[in-house]
Amino acid sequence: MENARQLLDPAMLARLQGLPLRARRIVEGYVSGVHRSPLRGFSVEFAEHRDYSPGDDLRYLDWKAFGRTDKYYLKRFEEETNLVCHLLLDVSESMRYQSDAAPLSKLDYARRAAAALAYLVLHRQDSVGLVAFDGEVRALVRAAGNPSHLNDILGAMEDAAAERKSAIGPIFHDLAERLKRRGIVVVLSDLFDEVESIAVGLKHLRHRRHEVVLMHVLDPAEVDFPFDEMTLFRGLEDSADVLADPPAIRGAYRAEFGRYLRRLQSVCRAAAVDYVPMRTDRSLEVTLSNYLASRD
Amino acid sequence: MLSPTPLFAFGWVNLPMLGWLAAAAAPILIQLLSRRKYRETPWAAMEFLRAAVRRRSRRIRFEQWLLLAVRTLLIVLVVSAVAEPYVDSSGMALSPGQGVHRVMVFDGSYSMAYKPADKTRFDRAKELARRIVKESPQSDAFSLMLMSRRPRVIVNAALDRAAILREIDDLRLPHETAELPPVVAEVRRMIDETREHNPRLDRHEVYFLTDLQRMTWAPKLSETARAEFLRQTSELAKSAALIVHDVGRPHADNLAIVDLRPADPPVMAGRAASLRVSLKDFGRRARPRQNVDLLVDGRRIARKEVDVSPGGSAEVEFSYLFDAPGDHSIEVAAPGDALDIDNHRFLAVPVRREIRVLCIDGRPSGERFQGAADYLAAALAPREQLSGNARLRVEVSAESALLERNLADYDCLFLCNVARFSVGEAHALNAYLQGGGGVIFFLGDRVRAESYNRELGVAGQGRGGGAEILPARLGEVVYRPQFRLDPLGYRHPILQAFRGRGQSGLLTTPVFNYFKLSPPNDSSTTTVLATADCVPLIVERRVGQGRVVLVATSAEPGWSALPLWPSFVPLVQEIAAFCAAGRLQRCNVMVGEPLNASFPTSVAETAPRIQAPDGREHPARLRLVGDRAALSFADTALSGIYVVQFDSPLDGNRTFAVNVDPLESDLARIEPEELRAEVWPEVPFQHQTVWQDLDAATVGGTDRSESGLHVVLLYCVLGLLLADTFFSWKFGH
Repeated sequence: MENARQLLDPAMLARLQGLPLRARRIVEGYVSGVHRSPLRGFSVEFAEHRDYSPGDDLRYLDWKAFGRTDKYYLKRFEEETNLVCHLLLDVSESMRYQSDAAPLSKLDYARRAAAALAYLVLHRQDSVGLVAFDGEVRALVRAAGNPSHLNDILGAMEDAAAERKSAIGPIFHDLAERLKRRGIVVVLSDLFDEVESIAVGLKHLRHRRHEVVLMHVLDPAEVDFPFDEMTLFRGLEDSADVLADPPAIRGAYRAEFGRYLRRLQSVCRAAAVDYVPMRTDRSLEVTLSNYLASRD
Repeated sequence: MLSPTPLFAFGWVNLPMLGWLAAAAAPILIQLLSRRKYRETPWAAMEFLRAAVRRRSRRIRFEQWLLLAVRTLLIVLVVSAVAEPYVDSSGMALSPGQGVHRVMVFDGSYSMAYKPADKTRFDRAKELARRIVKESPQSDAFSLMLMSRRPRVIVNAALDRAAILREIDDLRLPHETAELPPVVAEVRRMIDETREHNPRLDRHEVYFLTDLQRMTWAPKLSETARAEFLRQTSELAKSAALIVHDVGRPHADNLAIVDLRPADPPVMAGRAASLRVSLKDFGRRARPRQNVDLLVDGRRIARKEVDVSPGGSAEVEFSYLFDAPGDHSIEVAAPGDALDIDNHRFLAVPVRREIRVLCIDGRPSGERFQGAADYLAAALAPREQLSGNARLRVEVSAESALLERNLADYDCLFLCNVARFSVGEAHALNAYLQGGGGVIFFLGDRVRAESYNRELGVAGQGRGGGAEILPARLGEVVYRPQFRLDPLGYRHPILQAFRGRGQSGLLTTPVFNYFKLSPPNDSSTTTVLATADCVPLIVERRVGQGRVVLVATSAEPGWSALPLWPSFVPLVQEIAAFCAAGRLQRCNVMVGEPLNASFPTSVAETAPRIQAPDGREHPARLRLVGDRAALSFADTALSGIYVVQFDSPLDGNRTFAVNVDPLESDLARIEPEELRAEVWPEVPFQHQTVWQDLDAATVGGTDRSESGLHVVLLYCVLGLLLADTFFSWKFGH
């Protein structure tokens, strides 16, 4: 568990603290507080007060408490954590890749991102769950909102070994059926699969009324293709090896990769899915904070 | 049927360079090796990679082939340019089975022994010749020639390379000078002969392997000889390519011993002999305290130091007392520069107990001082009269002694007022002179001029193989008293002792009667003393190894007051010494001149050996000439001491000294431009300092390198280099 804790960088979390993951769309919560709930008229039970922080909805300000104590308190209700966030972490073999220019492998980067998001969600009293997948679901931690749940998520991420081939499209179909409660589905993957298959999977998730965020984790070498010498590329995920002269095919590779990215982004736009590119050589904090800020 | 002559023929100047075409495989090998040498990396985005490779594979293959072709062509063109292709429009390129006749002429002058480092110029020339032989095509034939005083053909149009290389290895540099004109004539003859006997060798190249010493390459020739030399060279250049390969260097200092002689010959036993050594510097370097060593009979006797200024001369004098008579060898050495041959000078000295003189009296008389030779005999050995210890032993005899006595026993003969000579006497005198004897004629009233002129022969008159003993033709007797004589600047050695000694009375000797002497214009006759109006009174000439002195007046009073004059004694003494020195002359020759000696017939059956300076022994043959056994040995290519050895020690040894010509010590060069302007104007030749196979560089005087094909190739190389750079940048390789 100590290792799992290393996925959480306190400094980064402190800076991300004020940027909660809010649902943009209707999610199946129990109160109409932070997140819009489809269940109108459902009564809730007062649970406790908490300190007001700027940005909080003034409708939940406890004016009586203010009158007594001259301090701002926000009323908390028993089922305020009506946001359910599902973190889908790709643990296929391709996620193990780490180039010389990158400080982390894609999987480690995705784990840290997932850990940070889980922490943020739980910190906001929302529920978060985790699905680690490759070609199949390798680990599933059901969504819950208690703080100790973070340990379950971190432990599941740590146990997930990247050894197998991925099949992202089919897994999305599977998860779309499994995740009953509508919420935010955050996918952390390199998305090395057929774009059409991914598109169908995403549509399925969207059909289930999930808000989907696609965090595309890429190594800088996969984008830039910076190799100069004759190189034997040993395929991960059972792909055949390819001997190539990188300078000769660099242009073609970049064109292919660019085309793939454009198609992916197009698919995301069509499906109203947030597409968040993540390069493992760039600061996770910056990437996440930019994205979270853009959601506000 | 005649095969048609090609209009254009293609060939290569440096054919062996084409071997480097194998390097054209390098880009292909590098390409193959580069595919074996790669780094490995795991990779996730294989689909995109595969798609990129799929898309680019054709183009990549095309680019790689293009680059490979450019790089291979680049090497092919560079090699081709270095091999210097040519197109010969004369159609004289080699056809299969034809070959080149390469004549290598080694400069055999001793300046080629100049050794500035570890190799002499001659060694470098031999190295070059070896390379020419080894690097030439198999079909080529080779001739070797040594350019010395006379051209020596060593190999003529031979194909056996191993034998030719052995001959080159065995070549030894003679210590001679070299003469260019006879070499050119000989090479031309050789090529004509080869052309006739071996038509397969239809091209000829002549390599002069030389240091371009001015002495050899700018010969001083008469107008006629120069015209003939130029004609021969031009003809040679029409039939062969001439290549002057320069193994010399622009400037070379040299110090040489140019002369070694006894100051007062002949050298007598028991008397200190003075030996004069002359040194000359032929450079620009001062030589302070130059050591000069004296070696007698191989033992070092003395050392002296002398300062020699740059380009200057110096003289050193040694004194040495020879105890015993016989042949002695003297060597002086001034070591210390890069050309060692002329740092040594040799002298063979026949040391005499006495000089034997025979005076033939043409009018013998029983009374004292009445004969024609009485005054002369007294003057030749005055102290004999007093103490009996004279260096000249004089005998007086009648004319019959010329045939009765063995003239070889005498160092010189004085013939006084002899009326006439028979054919036998003339023959005996001629043989005596050829052997190095000295003959002095004093004339007089009994002399029949026509008999002298006819029987003895006059220099330059061309008697059809007969003797030419007299230095001047005898004319009529002149009866005109002369009271003033002209010593002609005391230039002649006989008169040098009189310089500054006016009291001797030589110039005031009264001469009343004398024969008019007419020396031939182009002979070697030298006038020693003349009348005030320039009529020769004493003339001399070298005949064979000996000398003849002709005095126009008599040796007895009546025709002149000379026998009574104080100058008479020193004059006849000097004449005797001068003529006796002929023996000294005979055993001191220049390199290349034969060694001649005569011996009693008692040794004719023996087989003497000649020990050369390099230690080798050569057998010598004796030949009976009259009552003497004559020896002649011509192989004197090395300077130093030669000793004729007999089996019986009683017969004694005979020592000869052979010296180099000091003119060759001047290492001044003729530069190629000067050669072109002064020596071979309008004669096409190439000057090279580095060996280059001229397989096709010049034929018949046409410079094939002017084809410029290699320049075009080099431009192509430049273009390909730029293309390679551009393609590499464009393709990202």
